[in-house]
Amino acid sequence: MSNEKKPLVGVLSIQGAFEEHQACLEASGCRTKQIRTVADMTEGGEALDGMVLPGGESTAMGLIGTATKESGGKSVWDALRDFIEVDKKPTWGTCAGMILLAERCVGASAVIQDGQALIGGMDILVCRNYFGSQVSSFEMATPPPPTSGGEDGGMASPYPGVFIRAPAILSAGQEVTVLGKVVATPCRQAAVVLEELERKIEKGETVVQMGVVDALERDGSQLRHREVVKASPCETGEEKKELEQDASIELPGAADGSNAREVICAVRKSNLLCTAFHPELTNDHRWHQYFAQMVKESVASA
Amino acid sequence: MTGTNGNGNGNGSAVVGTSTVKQGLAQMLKGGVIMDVMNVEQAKIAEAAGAVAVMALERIPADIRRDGGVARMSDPSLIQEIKNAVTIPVMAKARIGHFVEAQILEACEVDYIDESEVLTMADDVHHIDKTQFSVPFVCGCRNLGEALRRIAEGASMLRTKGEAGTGNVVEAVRHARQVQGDIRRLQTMSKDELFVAAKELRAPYDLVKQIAEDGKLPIVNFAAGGVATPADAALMMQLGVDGVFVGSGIFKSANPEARARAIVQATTHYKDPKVLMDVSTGLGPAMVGICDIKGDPVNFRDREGGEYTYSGKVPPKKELSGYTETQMYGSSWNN
Repeated sequence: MSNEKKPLVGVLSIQGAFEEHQACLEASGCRTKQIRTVADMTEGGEALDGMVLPGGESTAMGLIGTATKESGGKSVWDALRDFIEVDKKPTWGTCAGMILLAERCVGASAVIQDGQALIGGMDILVCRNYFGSQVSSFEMATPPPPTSGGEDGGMASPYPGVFIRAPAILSAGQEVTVLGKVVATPCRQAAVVLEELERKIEKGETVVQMGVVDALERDGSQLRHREVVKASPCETGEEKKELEQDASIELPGAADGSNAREVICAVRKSNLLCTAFHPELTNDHRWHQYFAQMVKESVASA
Repeated sequence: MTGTNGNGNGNGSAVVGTSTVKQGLAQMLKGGVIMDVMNVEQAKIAEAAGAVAVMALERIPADIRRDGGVARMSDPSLIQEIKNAVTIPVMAKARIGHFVEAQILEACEVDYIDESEVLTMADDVHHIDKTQFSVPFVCGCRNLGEALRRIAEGASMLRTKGEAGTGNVVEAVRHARQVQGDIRRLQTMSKDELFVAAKELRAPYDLVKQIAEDGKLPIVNFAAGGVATPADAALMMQLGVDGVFVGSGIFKSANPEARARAIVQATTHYKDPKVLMDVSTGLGPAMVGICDIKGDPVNFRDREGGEYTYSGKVPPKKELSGYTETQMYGSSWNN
């Protein structure tokens, strides 16, 4: 295959495992490019065919990605929103990248002014660091990507999911296709966040973003939360209303009477793909091939 | 080891503490800045500035240098407070060879343990057997041999040793260049030369062979020990490290918030001098630091189990011999 035919996939390279993604994408028939600024996205005159947001620290990525405004007052976050919502280009977020693509996020940092800077687009509610600290990070067999290509029978074998201080998807919107679930107990911090979230949902409140409980700011026996309202410039009033109507979300309950909940670890909605685990850390390239296929289909239909 | 988290679904049960998971967190920290913090306030400043992790310490290296005394693991309550205050990974230091401090830190559920030469050595012959822990370890190295010895012991992440608490980047540069030079030398060798190379590096042959084939370290390597400015961070990144630890450089400077933010930006945009110029502007005074590292009585960098000449003693001040550079070449002040 000539080089010209290979699609060009940008990999957000602010921080995290971007080099690993590049290697996997290149092994899956794509060309790649590191993206740090708005200028990087258009430099060289060739438009990107897809974008990958890698694993890393979502707080750091959010702060760095929104800090620098380039010509026209646009940050790379704004450019990525256009890429996803206007251009409808395929975009895949893994772990921290998944948080960035989420519309709603709980367990965000309580010390950052505007909370987690989300790009949005995927109608899911994620809980940051659901599984706990590093000693609880784990490897587990997860459902493989859908066999759209249908190459061989081996495609059906489970996929080695690597979860590192991973987020979990608590609920997904109607149009979101769930591609994988895991059963897991939330960590101590996540459990408190979920408790508070359930209380709020019961009261009919809409939660777009909620910080973790700052245990040091305990007010008597009452836990004090610092909440942050998502201040997204691209969010119109109409969209806000849509979110509010959607407030009747249901959180996954205990599966077997224990504290374990069935949470979602992989979703797709048209041009967007999210995985809570790290396909870039394994030698199994099926998820990268699946995304490469999404990109190729998008190029062909353009 | 099976999952302690009750994870598991129909497809199989969760496995924790694998090398993929331990090394994976370091991969997630790449391109980021890890900051030393001494209390909750500093931890919050670090998180809000865009740090990818914090290192919880009772004393930062500059203070350990100045005050002396035995430097030990931090109080678990300090670590717990910081863990509660921030959502980013929290690291903590254990003394070289002090595996019980490491066990305590693992029980604290820190995200990474730094088996650190900045603390006083607990064992001047042996390092911790890091394969026995689910929590991953980061270790310092001055050269490839030291790096591979730590990897053999189970380290999941490396950093240059530099010379912590000096605000002087010269040793970090030396160590980063040394590791890379050593790797390049291995790549030029024929297969039969690698056996002797392993002996000379005092490192396991299998790892030496793997490095010669891959041309790179198998795990992430950060810069540490003397980074004090955004330019220092970008210098280390351009020298090929994967990320940066900043210890005393931030909270010993005049304006920690601004400096922390600037170093974070510089580490991401390390190849863009325009951004580096912008973020370096108007930060106020950097930490004062130590210029004469060789003459300083404190030497963190040479502390390695089985290697340290002055174990248990204060290294003697080096005698000057011959002419100084100023005597030989003159000073620019005289021109």
